[in-house]
Amino acid sequence: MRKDRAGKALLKASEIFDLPGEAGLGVPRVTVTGSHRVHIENHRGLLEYGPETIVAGCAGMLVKVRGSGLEISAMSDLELVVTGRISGVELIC
Amino acid sequence: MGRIMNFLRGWARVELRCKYSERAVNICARNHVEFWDLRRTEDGAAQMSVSIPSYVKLRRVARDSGAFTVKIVGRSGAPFFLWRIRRRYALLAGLLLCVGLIGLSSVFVWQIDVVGNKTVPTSRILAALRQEGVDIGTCVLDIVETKAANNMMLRVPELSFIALNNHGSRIEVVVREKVPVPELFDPRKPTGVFARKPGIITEALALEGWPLVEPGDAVIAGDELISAHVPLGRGFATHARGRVMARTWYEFTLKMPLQTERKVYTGESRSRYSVILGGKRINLYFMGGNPYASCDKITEYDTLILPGGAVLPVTLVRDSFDEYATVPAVLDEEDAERILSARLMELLENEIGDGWIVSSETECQSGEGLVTVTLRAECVEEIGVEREVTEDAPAQ
Repeated sequence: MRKDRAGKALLKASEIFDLPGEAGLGVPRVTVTGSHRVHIENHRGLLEYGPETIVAGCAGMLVKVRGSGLEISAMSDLELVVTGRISGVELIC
Repeated sequence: MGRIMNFLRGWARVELRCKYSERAVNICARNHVEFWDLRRTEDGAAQMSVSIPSYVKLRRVARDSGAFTVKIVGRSGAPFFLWRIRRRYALLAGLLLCVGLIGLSSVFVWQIDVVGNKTVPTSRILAALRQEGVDIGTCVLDIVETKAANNMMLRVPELSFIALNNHGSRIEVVVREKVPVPELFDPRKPTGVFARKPGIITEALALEGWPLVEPGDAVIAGDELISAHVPLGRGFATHARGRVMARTWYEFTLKMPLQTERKVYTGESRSRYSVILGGKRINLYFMGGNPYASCDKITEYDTLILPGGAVLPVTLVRDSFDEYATVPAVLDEEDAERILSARLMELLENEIGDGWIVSSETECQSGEGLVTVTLRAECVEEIGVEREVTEDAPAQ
């Protein structure tokens, strides 16, 4: 609870000072390129993957990518690249 | 590019077996195991592609964590290919030879680009470079750029700057040309205006100096028109200049035989091919020389260029020989007169420069198989030309 409160305070401070949240606060950044590529930064791990759904855990939310023929093109401990025919990206808070 | 690098490095397709394959994937990502093309198999296992160093790391991670097992289901790339053909010596030797030749070819100059020249022709710069030992096919290691650039400045004095940039097999020659120094007008240098051809003066306008002629005077070539010495007061010398127009007369004659020869192609033709490889021409035929006694020779050069625009040092050369025979032909007298008149008028216009033609007439005579055309013209033109005079020259 304490950590959560500190995180919210930092997020508020970053908004006040107009700082990008993804730089130091671990806020996820999702970049969608056309309908064939999704780049997720600051993820916390893969929760589910398959040719139609890929779910990645992020700080305080889940990022769900829906589509067909989905595959994980590249993955590191911070970044995740999903390619395929993408029909939707959903944030589940 | 990524695929080429993966092929060169070699990669393996591995299958991770775990109760929850997501967990195995997360463990890999957290331990910096690089992988790509992750898919889930029908039986729930995770399949991914990893490089050889990542595979070694993956095995260690799997052993340390104990959470999943790793099984290779496929492998590809240059290391595995070389391992497969390790006993096929001829193929291996061919491959090594090919790689060696590619490596060897990269130390030779295959292309020379000259940029920055406007008035100095590229061919002249290339010829000077050739004399400095920089040519297509030269070993890059033998080229000392600074020395060649310094010597090039001496060989081509019109250049103010030259740099040779070595881009592997391509040499880029960047040049800057000298700006010519304008001819300065020196008012203290005693200079007179003289006639360059005979004529009758129609206008004499002296801007500097002392005029010696006036309209109506007849002059011959070399006569002084405006003197440099001004006889005012104690007299002084100046740089005379002005405009002296004069009526001039010309007579040009040209002859042309009516009996000529005309080319008639027999239809026989032959082609020869050769290849220019790195500046060396390799003929793909045995017999040299022209195949026919009378023929036109047309040479076509076709340099191989890759789709990206890179020029390869290979040029195909096609020499075509078209045989012809000469047959006598008689030229029409009127045609000959028209051709000669046009040439005479061209000669006259070149002679008078900015002047103009007041009147002209042509006279045509024919006889003994020849057409003779004479052009007589009266023109008005500038005849003055400045020339330096010595101090003791008479001021007239």
